[in-house]
Amino acid sequence: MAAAEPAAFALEAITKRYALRGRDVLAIDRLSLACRPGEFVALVGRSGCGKTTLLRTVAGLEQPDGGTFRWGRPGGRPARAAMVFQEPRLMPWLTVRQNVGFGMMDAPDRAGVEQAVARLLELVELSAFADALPHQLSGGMAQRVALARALCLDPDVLLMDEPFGALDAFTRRALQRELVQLWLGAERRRTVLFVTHDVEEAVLLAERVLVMRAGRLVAEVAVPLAYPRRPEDINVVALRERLIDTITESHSNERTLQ
Amino acid sequence: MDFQRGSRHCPSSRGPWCGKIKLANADDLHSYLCVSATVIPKPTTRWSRLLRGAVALLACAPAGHVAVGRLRSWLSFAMLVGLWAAASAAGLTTPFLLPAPLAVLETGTRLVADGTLIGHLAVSFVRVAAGFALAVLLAIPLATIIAALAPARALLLPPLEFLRHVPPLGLVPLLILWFGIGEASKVAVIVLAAFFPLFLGTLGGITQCDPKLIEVGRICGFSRRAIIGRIVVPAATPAIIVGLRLALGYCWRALVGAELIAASAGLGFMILDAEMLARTDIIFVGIVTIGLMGLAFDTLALALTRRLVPWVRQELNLGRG
Repeated sequence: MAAAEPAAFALEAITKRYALRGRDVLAIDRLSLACRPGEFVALVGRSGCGKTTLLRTVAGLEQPDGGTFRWGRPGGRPARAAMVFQEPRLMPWLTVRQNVGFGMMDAPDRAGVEQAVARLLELVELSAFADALPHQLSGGMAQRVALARALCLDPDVLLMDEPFGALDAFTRRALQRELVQLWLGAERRRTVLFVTHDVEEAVLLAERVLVMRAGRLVAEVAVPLAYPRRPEDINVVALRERLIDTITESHSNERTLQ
Repeated sequence: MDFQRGSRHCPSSRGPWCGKIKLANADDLHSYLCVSATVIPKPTTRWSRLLRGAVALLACAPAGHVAVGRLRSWLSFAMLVGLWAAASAAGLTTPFLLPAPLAVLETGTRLVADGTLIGHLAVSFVRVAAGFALAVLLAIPLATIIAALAPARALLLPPLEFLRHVPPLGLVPLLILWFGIGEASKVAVIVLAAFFPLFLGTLGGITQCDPKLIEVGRICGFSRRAIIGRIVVPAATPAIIVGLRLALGYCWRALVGAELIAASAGLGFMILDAEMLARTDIIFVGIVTIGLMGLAFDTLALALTRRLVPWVRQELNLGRG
């Protein structure tokens, strides 16, 4: 995993503990990880394996109890990160347009932000709903607004926590396609760290899939397939099955993998 | 949404079967109520048939229909007045204890014409406006500070909790000693009555702000102050509005109570004065005026709410048609 070029971000021996009803729970156990700039990495694992905690640590929403975390410095400035959550988390009192521009409220260039918002609304195909309120949107539309809000921050790193997990299968498929197009189509590719428990989703989207179990990375699988990928593609199916096997392996096997 | 509204406020749904059945939607509710209405034994007299007709209309009208809903709320008033008129006409009541509606209307018209009612109303209104405004200026900032600063919470919450359990009217004698018999003591009663619904509404709204929305602010790199101003306070608005509406109602009640005890003008005084003169009709005019004013305030507050915070429309409309 030692990349020659500077990483977009790097974690070294990160540890995170929780006190759960007096018991000490180790959510992340001396985990190291580095992502190349522009790379699409998926993090898969069963619920409770620590993948969301890891993502939240990268986002700065959790403070690690041990280890070091480093952002890369793209173009010499500090990296910017944005996050898309499992729920849209839109401000119910703001219109779609205001929600997309929410993170850029302090930007001095008002006209520039407005332009960016309009462009992003077009990108996620919600221009017609610019003045709608969140409660008037469907789940898929709301999640597209959340994605546009994250992109509006112009992040170097996009953190996504099961962003399509709560959507129906059709909407989920459409948004997966849109996300790949957005990522491929950008002039400067963003680094994406995508947490999911849907192994097929991971194989369809990511260049590299990391398997997490009990707070550790237990496997790493490269996905050297061209986009757009189709779920019925024999290679996608093969990788998917391999990953599922890895995730469901017994603890004795886990040790050999490490 | 229609169903929710219908099931909560359709008078018939409060029957013994309420809560025992699960209905999928408004149509189901509608047909269910219509069926249940036909099962009940047939009416015998003309009066009871009329009553049953009215009740059936109240119960079975589609809940979401605006015009029918409005008609329905007027109809319930009309039935009450009709019953009152019928009892008076039949000689079931003595005019001294319960004057006929027409007599009350006549007295009311006379009191409006000679300016008495308007005068008392104006006095009461100014007291409520002043007290309410003061309470808003006091309660909302205080609740925000207490919610944001833990030391302030530890220092101020216990005495406020203590004071909350003392009814404002119980403090009237003390307030008269402190503020005199003039306007100040009346306004103080109103401030006390309006303070707690406002304070608790604001505090609840702020402390119950969804931490998930606050995380969005943190991801956006907002400062603590920006998170409070841009996320916490707007998110608390619905709770604050509920507090405002409650406070307005409490204001009226406390005001009339305070005026009953010590005043030389105002609606409460008018009622007390009428009692001394054994003018039950004037008492009724006072009661009806107080009720109508309360209703008018609440309707106005609701209309403002709809305009100012359209995103909470569904939640707040549950209570009204």
